[in-house]
Amino acid sequence: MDKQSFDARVMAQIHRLHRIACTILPREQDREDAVQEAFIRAWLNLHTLRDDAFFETWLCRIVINECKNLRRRRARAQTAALAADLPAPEPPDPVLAAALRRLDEKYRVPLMLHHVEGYRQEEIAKMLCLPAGTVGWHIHRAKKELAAIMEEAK
Amino acid sequence: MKEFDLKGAYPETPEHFIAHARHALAGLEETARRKSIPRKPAVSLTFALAAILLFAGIAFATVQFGLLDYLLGSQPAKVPSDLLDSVQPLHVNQSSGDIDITLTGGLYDGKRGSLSWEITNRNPAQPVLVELKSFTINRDRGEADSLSTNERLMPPPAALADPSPYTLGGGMVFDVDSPPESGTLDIFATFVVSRPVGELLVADPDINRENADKESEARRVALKKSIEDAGISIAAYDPLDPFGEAWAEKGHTVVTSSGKVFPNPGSRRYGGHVSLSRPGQFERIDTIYLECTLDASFAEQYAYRAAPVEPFAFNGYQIEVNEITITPLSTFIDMFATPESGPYASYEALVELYVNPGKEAPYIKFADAKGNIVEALRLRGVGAWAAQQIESGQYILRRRGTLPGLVEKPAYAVLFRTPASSNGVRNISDVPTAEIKVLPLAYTD
Repeated sequence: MDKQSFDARVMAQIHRLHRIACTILPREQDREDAVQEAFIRAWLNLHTLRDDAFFETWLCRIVINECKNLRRRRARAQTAALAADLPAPEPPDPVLAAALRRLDEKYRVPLMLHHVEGYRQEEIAKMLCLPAGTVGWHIHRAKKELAAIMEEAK
Repeated sequence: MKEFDLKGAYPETPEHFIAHARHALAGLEETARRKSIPRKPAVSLTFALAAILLFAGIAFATVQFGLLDYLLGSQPAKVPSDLLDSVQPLHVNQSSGDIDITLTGGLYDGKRGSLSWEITNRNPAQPVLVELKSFTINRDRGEADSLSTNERLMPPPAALADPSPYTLGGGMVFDVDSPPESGTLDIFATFVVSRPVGELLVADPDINRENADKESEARRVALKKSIEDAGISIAAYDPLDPFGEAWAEKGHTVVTSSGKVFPNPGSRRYGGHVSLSRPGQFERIDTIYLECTLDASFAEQYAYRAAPVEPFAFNGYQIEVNEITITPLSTFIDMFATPESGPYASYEALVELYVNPGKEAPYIKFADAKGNIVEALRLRGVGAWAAQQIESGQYILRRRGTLPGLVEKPAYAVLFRTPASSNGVRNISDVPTAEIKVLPLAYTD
């Protein structure tokens, strides 16, 4: 894959990548940083991708990993000077967004990938390096817990 | 989901995010190129380091440190290309004061993990010691099976006069008990930075000993001059105190010519198991934490796990194979051997009879379907028979450790009984066929 194709395929899913970053990282600045790191890592490791058809899921996986890495680094480097926050964009349904944030990440991410991005459980399993059965269970738990949180919010 | 439209929980992608992504992509090739080039020290320092490394007999270069160089020594060409590709560049960096630590690469091969790093001291006028204090893998405490022996004063005495930032590579190999369910290895490493308390002093038998070989002698003289030029004293050689313990007791911080704060591993006098730094010679000034995630999904296609084998009798032992896991980088074996006469009541008696050099113990190699012994890659860290206490309080033999890795899946494990020689050389062709046990291997995946 040449650089032009790489750029085009990345930009074709830029909204999805932003939503994935939103699912894991609360700060807009961190979302930009993580996605940028993911681009670099993807470009450096493009030769390891054996089939271009899997580029989109492969990139999603890298973005997920980079977001998690950055979140951990932020949690550890409490004294690090952070850049001024970028304004966080408002979701159309802030109550639902807040409820989603209360879910454990291990439930939240597969739920989002399945119900927002439309990935199948097998695809999500590959992205998250989890058995498909575990993904199915996590989605089930996520829906149940989200319903309970929303009920509580009424 | 019927009740909620989850898309409502997500905002529109902001314009600045899209602009940032476009900008990142535009500069991607240049950024990626910069990130993939390892930092190099100044040329003069490179020469100084080369001299130190050659002098100290260090087998691998530390400045251009590569993970697979560390793992495989001189045989990286035998590594499958797919596995080479799966080495993950990490670029995880933390800085504190003048010290930068970067995790540069990682690899999980289905049984063993490995991690490499670079440490830079930006203020070489203040030499420090940086040690990996501890690490966790998926929140469980990790044990380094093989840790880089590079921990030394940074910069070492010979490079103290050079004002350039000093970079040193390091790394470790560790066993992972079972494949992680999460598909990742989350590693959290704690490095401790210490500085010398007393006046630095070099005490090293080799720095004062003349070499018959001209080249070695020239290097020794050059190294000695560099140390003296840096204003560091060199203790006169004392055969009764080659590593300067008497100076340490007087308050000096004693290091070897290459900056090590303890005698070289393998030193007969210390048996290679000396705690790092003598008490009171260094004080902790900082702690640096780094965290990274290794992808474990690449590994599954390479790791072969042998199916359970019925216990069997072999040349005076009852052998029980608990685990054989084979990967291109290592063969992990966990095997029990109970003497047919029964477990021993005394640890010392068992060790005396079966473990010490010159005594006979089962040894293992692997063979292909035609019975040919398969060639193995060299890897550091070979386990030996050890005494294992069982529930009754008695002792049996246990071999839990690693042999060289295998690229091909072997058809057989071959056990033979041979004296454990002091130099580690064993030749299966010298063993009578009647004393060889051929064990067909089946695999669980």
